[in-house]
Amino acid sequence: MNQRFILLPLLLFFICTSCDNNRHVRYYRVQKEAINPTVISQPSAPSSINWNTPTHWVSTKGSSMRIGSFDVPFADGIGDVSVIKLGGAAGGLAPNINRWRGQLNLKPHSEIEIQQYVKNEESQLGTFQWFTIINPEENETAFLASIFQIETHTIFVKLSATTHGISQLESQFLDFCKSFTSGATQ
Amino acid sequence: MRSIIRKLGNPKIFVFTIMWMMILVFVGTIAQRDMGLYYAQQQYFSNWLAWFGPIPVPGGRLTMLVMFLNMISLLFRHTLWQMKKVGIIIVHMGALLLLIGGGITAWFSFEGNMVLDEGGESNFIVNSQQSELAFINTTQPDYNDITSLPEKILKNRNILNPTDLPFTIEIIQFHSNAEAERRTQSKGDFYHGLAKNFLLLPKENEKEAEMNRAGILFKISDTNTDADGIYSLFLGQSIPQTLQVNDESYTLVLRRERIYLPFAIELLDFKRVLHPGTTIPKSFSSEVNLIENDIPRRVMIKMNEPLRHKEYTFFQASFSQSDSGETSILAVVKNYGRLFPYISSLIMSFGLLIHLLLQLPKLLSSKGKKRA
Repeated sequence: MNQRFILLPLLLFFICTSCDNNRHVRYYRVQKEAINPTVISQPSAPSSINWNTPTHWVSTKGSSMRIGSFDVPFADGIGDVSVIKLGGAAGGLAPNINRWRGQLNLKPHSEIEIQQYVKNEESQLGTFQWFTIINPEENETAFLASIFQIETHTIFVKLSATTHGISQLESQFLDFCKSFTSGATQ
Repeated sequence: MRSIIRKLGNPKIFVFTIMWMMILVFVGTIAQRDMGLYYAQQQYFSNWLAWFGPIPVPGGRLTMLVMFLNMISLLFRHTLWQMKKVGIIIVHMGALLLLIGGGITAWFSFEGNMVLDEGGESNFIVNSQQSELAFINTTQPDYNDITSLPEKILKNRNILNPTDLPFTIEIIQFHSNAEAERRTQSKGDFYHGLAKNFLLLPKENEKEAEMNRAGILFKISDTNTDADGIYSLFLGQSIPQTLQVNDESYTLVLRRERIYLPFAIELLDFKRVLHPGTTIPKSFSSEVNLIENDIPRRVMIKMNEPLRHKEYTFFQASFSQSDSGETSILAVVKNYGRLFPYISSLIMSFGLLIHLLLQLPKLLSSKGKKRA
């Protein structure tokens, strides 16, 4: 029996394994397009989040983690609004509030203390919690923030501005948060 | 060599491989309930080795290879090559063709989705189960040069030097499903973008593979600029990471694996017909333009009436509706082995018929003898 006959299937096997397209770097040249990742049906979590942006808010590039970033003008300055979406509970309410309090050189609060000033509001995306964090001794930076906890994700919306700016922008910020909806997918 | 072929051609091997395949199908079907369809397929059928707990056992791919070698070896038996066994030889040839077709499908086929907004156009398919790390050179005004690293090579500690990129990439961590957790303290300048403030934590894979959100941590070196450092990316990150090296601008994205097509599809209109008086859909259809060499051709894709073009088949799979309009989702399959099952079934049927006809005189004479 000729040895070549037994080598034939082995050769076929090596050809097949070496031709596996998924194990090689690929190079393409394509026409310009928007580099927005396509998100397909995610029934348990909103595949995309929509909101109504106030007309005078300016969309900015922000950091790579933000799904939305805006410069928000007020009477004597510009605030920064960030929208960040993280998986799971993302640490929970109290640790996040205390992390932000730490950024303003404030001592951490207990869960009971936090529950005293956290308020609830409704949006089409569900109920969200909002609160302000102000250091009375440092008026330059204060936070107005909201947290949406939705099944598998948590969305953080944070306005960073001066204490004066926070009070001016509060109603706009809340209208912005209330406008949050999900792009329904079937 | 003869003894090896004789052993490989033992018909008992075929019987055992068939039985083993039945066990794999049974176990895989049960496992699918807990681990999901995609991962069950990968673990039991698309692997060389499957694991029953800590015990390695032959996976579907290895079993099929053994079956293939067994059938090839069987053909080299001198005793088979007789006129009266022509039918059996043809049946064997048909079965071998079926296995070859299975191999071609396993290695070269591709399945994915094309997501089209009404009025929108696309020239790529997205594989919802796999990710890719794409380095997009955006320097030129008209086109992008894309270097894509598929998920299978994004192994921890893998060092990659793609010829089109002026830097080296070292994969530090890749997780097919991950979540970000904020660092307690920001990292230094060697860390860029997301990696500066966020940690990547692995998560267990979701049952539905397309629900996973992959994450990657990698190091870029040899640019001899500030761009050297550690980067992190997440699947679906809305603001991509950018990089500037030698006057070339790059955008770095971790995204669903894409396969670019030599033509484009434009969705003209998506139609959904409901059963009268209900909100239950009766049928979906997409009216599309197939654009090749700048020449559009109008085609209707309906349920059970796919569009076949070149090696690709486009099925109407799903749709989505949002405030901005309707979106049609087409399931796209590229399969060079598509015709093999049909051809091999015909060959095997023909072989069985020949075998029956050749055996008929013997059958009739033995019955005649019994009567006599």
